[in-house]
Amino acid sequence: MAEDNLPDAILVREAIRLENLPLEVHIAPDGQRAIDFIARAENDPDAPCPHFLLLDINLPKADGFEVLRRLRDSQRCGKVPVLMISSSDSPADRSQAAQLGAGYFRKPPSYDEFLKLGAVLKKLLQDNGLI
Amino acid sequence: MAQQVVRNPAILLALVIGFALAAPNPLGGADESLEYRVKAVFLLNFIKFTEWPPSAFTASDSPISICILGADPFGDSLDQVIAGESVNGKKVTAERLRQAPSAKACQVLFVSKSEKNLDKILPALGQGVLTVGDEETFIRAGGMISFIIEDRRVRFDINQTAAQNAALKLSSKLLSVARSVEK
Amino acid sequence: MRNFRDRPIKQKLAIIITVTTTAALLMAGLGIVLADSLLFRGYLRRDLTALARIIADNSTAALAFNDPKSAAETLAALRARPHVVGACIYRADASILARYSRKDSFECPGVQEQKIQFTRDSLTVAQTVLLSGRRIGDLVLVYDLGELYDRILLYGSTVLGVLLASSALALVLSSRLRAVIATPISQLAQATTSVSETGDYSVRAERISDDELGVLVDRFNGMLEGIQSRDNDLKKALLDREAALRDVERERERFHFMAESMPQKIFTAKPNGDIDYFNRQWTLFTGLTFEQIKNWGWTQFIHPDDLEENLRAWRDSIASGEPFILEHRFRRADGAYRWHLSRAQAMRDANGNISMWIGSNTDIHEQKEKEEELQRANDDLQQFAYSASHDLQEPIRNVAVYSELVAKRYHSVLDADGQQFLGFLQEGGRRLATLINDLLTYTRAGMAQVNEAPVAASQVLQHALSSLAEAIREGDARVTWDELPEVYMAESHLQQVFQNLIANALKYRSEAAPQIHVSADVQGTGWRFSVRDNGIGIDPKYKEKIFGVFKRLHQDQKYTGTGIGLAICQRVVERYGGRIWVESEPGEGATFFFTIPRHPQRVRSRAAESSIG
Repeated sequence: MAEDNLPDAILVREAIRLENLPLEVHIAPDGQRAIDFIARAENDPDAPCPHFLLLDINLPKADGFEVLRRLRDSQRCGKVPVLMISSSDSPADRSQAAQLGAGYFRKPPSYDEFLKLGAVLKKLLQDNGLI
Repeated sequence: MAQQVVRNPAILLALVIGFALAAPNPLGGADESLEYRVKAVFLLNFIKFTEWPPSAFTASDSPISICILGADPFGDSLDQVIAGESVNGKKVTAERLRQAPSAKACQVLFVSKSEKNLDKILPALGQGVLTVGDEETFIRAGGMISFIIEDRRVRFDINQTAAQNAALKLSSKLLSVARSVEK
Repeated sequence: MRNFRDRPIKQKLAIIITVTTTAALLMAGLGIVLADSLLFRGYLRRDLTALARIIADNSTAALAFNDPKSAAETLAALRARPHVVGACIYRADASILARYSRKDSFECPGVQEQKIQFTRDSLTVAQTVLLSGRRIGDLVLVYDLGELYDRILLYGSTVLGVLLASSALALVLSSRLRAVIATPISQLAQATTSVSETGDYSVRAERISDDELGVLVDRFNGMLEGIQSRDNDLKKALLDREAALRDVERERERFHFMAESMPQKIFTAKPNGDIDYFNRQWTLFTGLTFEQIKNWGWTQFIHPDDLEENLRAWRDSIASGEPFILEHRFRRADGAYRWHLSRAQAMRDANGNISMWIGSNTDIHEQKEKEEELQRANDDLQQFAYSASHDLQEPIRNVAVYSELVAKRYHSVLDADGQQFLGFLQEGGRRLATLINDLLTYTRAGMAQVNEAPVAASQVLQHALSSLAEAIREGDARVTWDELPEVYMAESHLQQVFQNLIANALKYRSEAAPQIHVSADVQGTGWRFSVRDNGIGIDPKYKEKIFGVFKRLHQDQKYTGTGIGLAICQRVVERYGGRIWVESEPGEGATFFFTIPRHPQRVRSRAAESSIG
């Protein structure tokens, strides 16, 4: 997960826990770190690609779309399923996400709604055959 | 014209006569024949101015006969004058007679001077005979035309009555050239 | 012949009549005379021939018996005929038997070959004298033709006399009759002379006869009437024209006066675009003379950046006849450029053809600058609002979510008050989050650029509906739509509008299942979309207010939302130069309309927009 907002990150964790998803979550606090991660995974055969990527859009240094583009350009990790999560509800962002082959989840201002992310994740993982 | 002259001796005669007349002495001794030549012509001419009734002829084609009773003073003249002549389609012929003709034998009778018993001869003639005498007294005796000589010219007197009695019609033209006409 | 042709008709008629009658009579007379003389000759010939025959016949005896006296007598009968000059009887030998003469000078001509011989003075008749078919002589008669000539003379003079008399009579008669023809003609001629000399078309010729001349007179009069009336019409038309011209002059003067006294810059142009008039303000402003500015000389003081569009717009207007409106910069005499709003309208004549363009140019420089300042300030504010709300979003969301989380997890730890306070926190947080989100959307609506490519509204509607799919399903709503056009809008903007309007329709529903219908039709230069619902409706007195930012009519918890939705719609629509409004009655549903211009619009300033009205 690439997310700079700690509260949001905790909520994501919470959502995953509630659904008992067998996920190991690594957090990159900014875009650059995320890109580095991907780069490492590319260059080092031992470094793993993430199975799944949760991507905030508003990241410092490099925003989510940049990371996503970088990911998609990557040989090894290009096919990694991605879910963009963002507070933004902009159609532009949504369409861009779709263009880059990523799902979109808007961070709702309600706790209960936020936890729905868990179900969404579960479905996505199932769909991608990861669980 | 020339033919006519040739054919008609009368013209020749007239010519001769003309010259003769022009001459100072037209009638001389030898002129006697000339006289009777003229008279012959006159006779013929008389015929041309006289009308005979059809009963005076025996036939329609009978000729007009000029008869000379008595001594013939004409000689050849008359024959020459009448040769080939015809009047109104009738031939003219000439006869010499010793005695009075029978009826219809003559249409013109010239009584010669030699005949004296006119009072016997003339009444005995029938109709249709034109009597012509050679003496002035002829017409007094009952003749119709008398030859006379006047001013050395041959002329004649006419007794019209006598002619009329004989059923003869004398043309007024003839009458007009006569010296005298007794009606 | 020419001389004759030019004589007056009366004379001509007289001459014609005289000549023809004379000629006719002459011919007749000559004919008669000739015929008569010929006949007389024939008569003479016959007569004399007969006479000769008679005489010849009468003289046969004289010839036969050679009797000159008798012959002479016969000839003497000719005394009775005064014109017998002499006669001779020839014997067969061509000697003369008898002779007759009236005059002593007569000499026997000799036997003739020809029976009849006409000489100039006499007629000689020869006749053969025949006796019983035999030629015994010839007769020659000489006749004096004086009789003939006397006769000719007699006849001739008679004829001449008759001729003269007849001619005189004819002349006399014709002079009366001539008048019948000549008089009307000369009258007509007089009338025409009078008309041509005096120019008085009221003259009329008198109709005297009922023949061709009468017809001519009638036609002449008719023609004059026609001419007269046309003349009058012409005069009238001339007067009208002069009056009209005077009016035109007056109007022109007024216009000029008005144009010159106005503070605006005024210009007029010919239909082909040549500027043919500038008022005083122009020359004052530009410091150039009319000669320099006229026709297309104005291009020299247009700002180079504006020139291309200026020319294009001006040419388009000239070609299409559509009003010309443009904001552009003019260079003042001192070299400074000033913004002007130029407008021109085409003036049309009775046939609908453009006769001229009239335009004005208003100095809007100050206004423009203020506008630009305003715009810049606005943009800055916009930018600020956007980034602020964007940045605010996250922390506010955190507050909302975590207050909720705390409330849930540590519910039991809190006392009643604590729980209540926490509840307020939660509520506040939630509301903050929604507000900020709406604010963000609102500011975003004002930021994006106008799209140049058309989007299919029906497709955009589908996107909007899919976003609202859940709400639609939950509300058991039915959305229908007509065929929608393509519009020049950003897809996101149009989608926003559809989404907001439909969401409102779903929200403010009545008891019945919501029926929502979307349609579009052409209205003037734009499309008018409508979104109709069967919801609770809106009180007309709030028709305007509902579009205000954060304005809500219902504070009920029943209707969630910040009330910014319609304000966003309005902002978007107005950005595209359209309008949005609602028609509704309480309890009868509502129909929201919004217009979008058909063609891409250039962003206009406030000044231009207000002047367009």
